[in-house]
Amino acid sequence: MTSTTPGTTSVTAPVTTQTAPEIVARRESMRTLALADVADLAAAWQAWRPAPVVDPVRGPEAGLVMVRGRTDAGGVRFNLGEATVTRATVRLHGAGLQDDVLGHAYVLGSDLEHARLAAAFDGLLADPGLHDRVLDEVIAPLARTQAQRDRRRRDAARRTRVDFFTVSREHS
Amino acid sequence: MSTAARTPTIPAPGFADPTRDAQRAFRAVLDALAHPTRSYPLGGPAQPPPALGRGLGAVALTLLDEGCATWLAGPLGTDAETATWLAFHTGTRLVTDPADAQFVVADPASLPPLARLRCGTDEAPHHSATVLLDVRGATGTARFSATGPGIDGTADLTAPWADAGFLPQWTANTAAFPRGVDLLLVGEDTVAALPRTTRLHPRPEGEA
Repeated sequence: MTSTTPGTTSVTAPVTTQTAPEIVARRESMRTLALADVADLAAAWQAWRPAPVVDPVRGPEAGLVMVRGRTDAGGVRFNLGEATVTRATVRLHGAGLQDDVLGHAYVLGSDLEHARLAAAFDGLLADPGLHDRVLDEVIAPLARTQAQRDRRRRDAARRTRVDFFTVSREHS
Repeated sequence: MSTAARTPTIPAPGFADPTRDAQRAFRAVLDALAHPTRSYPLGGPAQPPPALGRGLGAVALTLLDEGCATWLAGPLGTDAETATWLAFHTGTRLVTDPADAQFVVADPASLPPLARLRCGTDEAPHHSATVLLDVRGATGTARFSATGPGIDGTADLTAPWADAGFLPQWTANTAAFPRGVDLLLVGEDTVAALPRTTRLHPRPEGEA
């Protein structure tokens, strides 16, 4: 909890210094899976051996979530708008797994297969015997691809930068 | 089921078609409340927690959400599989005191006295509890005749789930109108209802 100006309701902004490292790591890998290209995810799933059995527990289903914003750390929260989000929860069992595991995924957009694949990999990450293998063979390459994509976009954007000599830049 | 038994912390799937199945179940509950004592067919999730069963599972998925408090009576209250399943699919808050609950899930043996449940106030009678009574496998012989809104004349009610103490409790419940609890009688595949407006009268044994 962060301290807020009087009049605002409780603020549940996560304070990263208090979050357990395994939660930070899982958040990071779930983010990588959610931002990955669905074709890359499908290829990784096709290549994964031995293939476990994936049973749906909930979804994949698409719905709307309200995105809330704040003008700054002390600002009053307001509704920014609605976003389409697809979520899935799957149960994995069978080959290669020590025990049944549960995987969740929330993905921006309405690609049901993306959410299902991301949930399946999240489930594989929950298995202690497979955790490191998934990180090395799936998460790390996806993260590298995303980093390259982001760098390309930043480079493309930087070329369009215009410097106005009469206006001093605040953060240069 | 062996895998599910090994890892009860993993919830079983809910409705196969969440929107339509919940709408059908809601319609069945609505019809049951509009026509007290009449049974309506109910379709449920394929693999509900065994302690809950298909019928109660369907009603729970339909009526419960994160905005309401639920109390699970008796052995159901200590069943980890049911608690996990309800928390995952409905998000309902499980409470430890039946007086705090908007929904009470019980079987005939574990049903607390109706007077202990929330019965609302005269200004806000809708703040009362709804009891989801598990009537599977009940073997009693009680029979009542029922009168009230939604019943043309009188209706016969065979109530194998009712024990000797039920009728006085129900009479007190109807007398407190507009306050009072509503009762949903949920079987494996059926639902019937006794809203607080339905009056029950004893019916002699063996009378046709």
